[in-house]
Amino acid sequence: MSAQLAARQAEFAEALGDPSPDAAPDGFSEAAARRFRIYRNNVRVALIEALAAAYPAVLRLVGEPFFHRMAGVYAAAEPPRRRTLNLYGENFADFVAGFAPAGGLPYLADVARLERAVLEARHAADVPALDPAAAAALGSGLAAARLIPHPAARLVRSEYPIAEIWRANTAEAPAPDGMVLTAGAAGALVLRPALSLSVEALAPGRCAFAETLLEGGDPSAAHAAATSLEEDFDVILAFRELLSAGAFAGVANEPDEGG
Amino acid sequence: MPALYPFTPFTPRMPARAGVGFKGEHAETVCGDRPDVGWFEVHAENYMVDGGQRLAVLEELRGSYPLSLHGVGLSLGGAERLDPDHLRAFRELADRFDPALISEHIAWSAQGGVWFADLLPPSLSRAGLDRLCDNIDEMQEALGRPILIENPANYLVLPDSDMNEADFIVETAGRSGCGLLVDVNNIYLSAENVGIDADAYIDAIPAGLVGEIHLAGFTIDEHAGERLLIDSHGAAVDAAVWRLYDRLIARVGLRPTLVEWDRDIPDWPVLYAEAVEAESRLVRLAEPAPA
Repeated sequence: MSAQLAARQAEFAEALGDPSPDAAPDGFSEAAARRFRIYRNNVRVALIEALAAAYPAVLRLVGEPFFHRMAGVYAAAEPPRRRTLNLYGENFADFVAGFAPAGGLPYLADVARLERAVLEARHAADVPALDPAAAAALGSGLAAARLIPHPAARLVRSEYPIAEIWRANTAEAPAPDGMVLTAGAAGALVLRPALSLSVEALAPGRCAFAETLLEGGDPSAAHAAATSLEEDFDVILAFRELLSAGAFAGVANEPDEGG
Repeated sequence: MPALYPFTPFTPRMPARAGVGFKGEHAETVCGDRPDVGWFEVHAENYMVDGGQRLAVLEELRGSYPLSLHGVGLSLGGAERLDPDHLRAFRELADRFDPALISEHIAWSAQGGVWFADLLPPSLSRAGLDRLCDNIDEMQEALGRPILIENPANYLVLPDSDMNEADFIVETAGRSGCGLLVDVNNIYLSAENVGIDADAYIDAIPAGLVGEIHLAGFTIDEHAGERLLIDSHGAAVDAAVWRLYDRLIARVGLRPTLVEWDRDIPDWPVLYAEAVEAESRLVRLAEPAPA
């Protein structure tokens, strides 16, 4: 009967999650219990491999044995709740931040945050970017307009040069000759307006400017945030570059709406 | 009660040829060169994303080849009802890509809100069969068409499994109206691992239920003096599996046959050669489909 079937599968599932290497479901023969490890191993490896594919730079920074240990601990604590691994590991970066053995690499969690942003950007909805001409057509109303972030746009703040670290540790771009670190980088901007992905290091003014806009602030607020950090911030240039890079999907409201 | 979506083994939209499990690693070669392959199969779950490159490549692939949509996450063999969100995502993919075949496993993979990302052994029992049929009914009703169900690779026999697996899947297909996706590699593995008779299993499958065949390679795991064959999909098809395949198609006739290779993925020509081998056996051994 079905209740018994459910109970048996619940026992099987519980044994899969049991950290003891000899764990097996109740009622299993010695031979079946021995073979149960195949399933435990498959489950563990599937999750670790999904994380390895999603966090290639973190993997390269810590090496495969360390990564597998770290990912194994995460996978045991955070099994997938959805039926696909495409976006598995939502809070992996937070886990890395608290994973004591990785404490010697203070930038590691921020690199993981960037890789999560890249993963989300890759699988985000395909929406055309706002045509810069459409933004320009708003004229003086632009300063008070609210721009809709493109669904793939992600901004990751960090006091470490995560964009350069990421670039040097993934196959996305050839590793530079000697790492060029952006002085005073404040974050990285991930965009994917069509199918090609871009990851850009952001200086503090540009970071504050982009962050304000992506969080729904209007261009004048973004300008104020940027100039508080960089007095001679070139707002026209920064805005034009964000628009043409595909950071926005549209304009939320006409500036004269609701004052 | 007659099945709502009765299966027939021939669909004009799916050629009874060799197909290949599509991998992103081969996207450039396949989309650029359009090799002469009958069709491609993809895992539905890999395409459950909002957008991006993966879906764009699948659009391109679908524009040139018939498609088989193969699920690994519905947990048809699970004691729980199907996950409505996952079923909806599956249906959206089916609506968008219009696959010629849709298949899932009789295994289970989820319990208590957790997905295990693996195919766990189904209970070959009356209770297991009833539950499986209910889940297949729900999937077929959601999709409005019959599906194919795949036999698992077995590493152990569950304490409550008291039915012969061939009888189990044939009865399930008869009751729910679905067809069978016969994984010949899995039958060979099960024979080696738990001691069933592979030839008898192959011979027990009615030709009229076979909608697709899977072929893949396995790896050998030696642990504590025990030798197990693991369904790794990481090697060429074994000679013993080709022999079972010959035995199956010589009796059931031409059927769409998939070559799968999912880890240690080789360059395209190696995988293509496996598909050519399968197709040459189909042509040589199988009777042509009735007109």
